[in-house]
Amino acid sequence: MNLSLKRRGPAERPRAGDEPRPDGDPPDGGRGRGVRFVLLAFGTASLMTVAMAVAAARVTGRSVLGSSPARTAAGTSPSPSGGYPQAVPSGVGDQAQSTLAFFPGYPLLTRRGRR
Amino acid sequence: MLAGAAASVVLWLLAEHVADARTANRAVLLFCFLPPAFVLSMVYSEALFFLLVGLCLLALVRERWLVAGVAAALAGLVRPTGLVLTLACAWAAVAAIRRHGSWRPAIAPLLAPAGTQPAAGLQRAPVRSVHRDARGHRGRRGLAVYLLVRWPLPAPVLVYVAGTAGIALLSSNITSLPRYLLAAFPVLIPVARQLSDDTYPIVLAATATLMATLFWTTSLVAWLAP
Repeated sequence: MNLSLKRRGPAERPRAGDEPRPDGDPPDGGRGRGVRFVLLAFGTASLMTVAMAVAAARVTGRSVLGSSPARTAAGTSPSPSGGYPQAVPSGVGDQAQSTLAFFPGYPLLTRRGRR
Repeated sequence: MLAGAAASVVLWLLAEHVADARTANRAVLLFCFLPPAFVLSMVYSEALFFLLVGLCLLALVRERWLVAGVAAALAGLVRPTGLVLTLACAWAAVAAIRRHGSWRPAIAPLLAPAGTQPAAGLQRAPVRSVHRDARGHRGRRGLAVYLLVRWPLPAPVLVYVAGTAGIALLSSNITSLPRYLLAAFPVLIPVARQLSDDTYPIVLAATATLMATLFWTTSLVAWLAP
């Protein structure tokens, strides 16, 4: 298999949505290594996020749970627990529209997950 | 956070199916360390939405029509832009029907809008709001067209990326363009494949630094704000 990124031309680029992949699925071992690699990468990114939050908390002298990002990261944002506003807010145009959150399945799932 | 990890795994499987394992590793690293990707570790709807989008697209390229339709319907229930997956399902289904002569693929585009429709009944005029959003910022259209021409993807994935990026780029009413553009994450597959061995580490280091800086800034602003 040619792994060179530079030499691969447009004619060689697969369009797998049109036709099934000719060389089939990879061995399970390769897929398992891939999943472990993904989890390691995501975990590293998440740890970096937490580290930045802790560092920002030390700079400001406030609690890690005191900020809006940290509140949502900790799962204490009001939307999952209280749901979205029940009424259309006053105002017209974009202002009224942008105040409406519209992720109806999201608070239902997160609320159930927190129980 | 679990949904974010699962979404990353699904992106890896999709990239591995479309390209190869090496490209999949690269694409996932870019996905995890993109500047707005810190939302994947927070209780935002992005992670769950990306997981369902990835499942739908993976099922489409593997021709698992029922799974694709259900995942698209659930994605529409999480975010209204999940409606774009209906177009991706329809595109893939038409191609498969022509190829195999069976009507079974039609189940995906029939199921896909099932999530958006009941969601539309819970809030007022979501589809109209998306349409109205798409009026502004003509200058971004050139970028969208360039992306589509420059980086070919499998047809259903391309339809989703084009629709999602189009909504984000053409909208005049969104608070965070990078965050909304993150929904077009399958575009990272051709990006990861085309970056050279010399360029890729630089790009990855730059995006990771930007992510840390962006989250640092966001945290400070949130703390310092009254």
